[in-house]
Amino acid sequence: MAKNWQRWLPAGIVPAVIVAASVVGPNLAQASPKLPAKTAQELLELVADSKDSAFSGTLEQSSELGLPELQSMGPGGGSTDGPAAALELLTADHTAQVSIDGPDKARVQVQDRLGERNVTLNDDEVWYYDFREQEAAHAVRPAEVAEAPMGAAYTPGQIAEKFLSTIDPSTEITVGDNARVAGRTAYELVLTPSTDDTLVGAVSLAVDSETGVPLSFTIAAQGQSEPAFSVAFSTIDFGAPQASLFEFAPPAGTTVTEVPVKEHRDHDAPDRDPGTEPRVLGEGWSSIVALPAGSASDVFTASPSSEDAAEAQALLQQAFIQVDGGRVLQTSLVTVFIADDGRVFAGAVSADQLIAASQQ
Amino acid sequence: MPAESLSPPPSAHDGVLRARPFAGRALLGSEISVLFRRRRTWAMLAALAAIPILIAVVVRLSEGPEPGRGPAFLASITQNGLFVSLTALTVSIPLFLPLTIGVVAGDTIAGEANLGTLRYLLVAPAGRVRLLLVKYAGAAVFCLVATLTVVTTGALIGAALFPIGPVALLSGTTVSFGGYAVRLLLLALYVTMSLLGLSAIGLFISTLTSVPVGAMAATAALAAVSQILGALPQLEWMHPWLFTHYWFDFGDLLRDPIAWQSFGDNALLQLGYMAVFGALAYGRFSTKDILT
Repeated sequence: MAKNWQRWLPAGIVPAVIVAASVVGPNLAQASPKLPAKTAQELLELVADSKDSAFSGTLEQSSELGLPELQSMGPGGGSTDGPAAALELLTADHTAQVSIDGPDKARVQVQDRLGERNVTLNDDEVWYYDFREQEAAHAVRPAEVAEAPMGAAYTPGQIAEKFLSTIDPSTEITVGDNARVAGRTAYELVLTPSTDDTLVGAVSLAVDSETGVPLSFTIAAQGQSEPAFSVAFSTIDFGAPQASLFEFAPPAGTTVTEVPVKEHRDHDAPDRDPGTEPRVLGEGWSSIVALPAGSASDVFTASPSSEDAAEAQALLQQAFIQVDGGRVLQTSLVTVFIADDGRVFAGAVSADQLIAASQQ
Repeated sequence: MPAESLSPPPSAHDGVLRARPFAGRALLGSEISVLFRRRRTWAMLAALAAIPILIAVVVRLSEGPEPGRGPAFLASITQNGLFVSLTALTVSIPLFLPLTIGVVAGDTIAGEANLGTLRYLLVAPAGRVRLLLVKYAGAAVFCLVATLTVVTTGALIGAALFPIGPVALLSGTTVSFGGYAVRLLLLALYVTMSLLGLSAIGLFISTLTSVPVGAMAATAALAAVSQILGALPQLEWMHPWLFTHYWFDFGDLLRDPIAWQSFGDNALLQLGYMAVFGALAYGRFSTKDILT
């Protein structure tokens, strides 16, 4: 007959093993891999060369913007419709399945809990599909539009391109420690603003050492240890995805909207006079976008016209803080100041700088 | 099974276990037959079956819900009756399934102790470890039956009240009946697996007391507590460790291609809970003085 304390042994050992495995396991893969040294310029070329690659993988996005998480509780998840959806995309964490086959075939599947939002690009056809709302939108990409549609700008590659195109003397580019992302060895490119006037601490990009495909993209905020925004592949496979993935047809019972791309542009153009154009104050990382008076004079006071509008107004009232002369929305990366006269100032700077700009 | 004719439930275990090599299987058979001859078990299964029926009838009688409102998949039902299974699963996972599992798992040891049959079970050459394993297996079988009850009743009532046809997956891809049936089966397995951690907790709690109602209530309450903790963004670091964390990720099986990540993560998590609470239940049950 074994002693009683021996019978309790498994109950002590099992949790200990689990804790040890969960602590040691991830750390084993953390060692920085050895790779032939490359300059920042060579890395940028490597990225530019990767445009035609085909791959599929799982992308994880997480944000730590210092905003309340707007994803609603419960099994239904948040609404994927209306203005709340845009805020939800920014503040909550997401997982997406990304399949890319060259520059003209792409599919991004944002995996909501018990739902899914899809953007499919097949040559010049663009489909958006939302399962929960049972809605689809279809557009034909005009031949002259070389840039990818909005949904495809979600991959690290396209986001990186945008950032690399804005590099100017106010930015220091360095090559960081080699990293391991999604089981691949990767170089790290770090962009650091040379000014202290911005909330952005550093922007870093992990580039696959073989293919040059960007594997992760991170924005760090000043004085915050966790990245303010990060998009990274958790798994990636460099095989060409199945061709059938890019052929989308909306299922029966879906409301399909045709989006006329050209007309949409013309619609914006006519009644625009220079007095209402947004202006950009300052340069580089600390630049401020200013919208003229009247842009947002009644967002907090107007009586909402619909349920969605009421929801949006309530969210705004929650997020903005009353200060002298207006209201401020402070996140770890971006600050928005709405003056009482309806002028709007926004930028990756502190609230004081925005208020100072409004008084000039 | 000789036990059935020998004695009425719940003392049907007695006298079965002459041949030791078959003791485990015979014990399991008798355990399952006792479980499913209880009126309580059938009442719980009937209550679970009532959920899809209620949903389908209400949707049939109303104008049809607006997309994006109400529980997931509700709006799809009017298009395709087969979605009733999915809506019913979504509704049952947070409360009804854990409640019934709590009743079965909480009753495993405490119920026998309460009726005074536990010591007779142990007089038979079954051994305490084997009895624990058999009791746990019985609870696991109930998890599977409960999930299948919701899924099949949903599909049947949906087919009876609504038009059916090829099913649109979350990704917008349409699959045939056969493909959908395979996915429904996978889904039932996923949900069953999700409940195994809770069953292990129930088994452990059941060894602590001889008042079965207490063990049942504590198990069902823990499922609720875990879900509440999982909904608090301030406790984000804790979320991947909660046994309810992957409960609603069954939707990943309805994507095209299927996202297997959550299936694997969930299996690992539930295995962890089974190991920890199984070890705790062993520690408690094998050192316990059985007085009743």
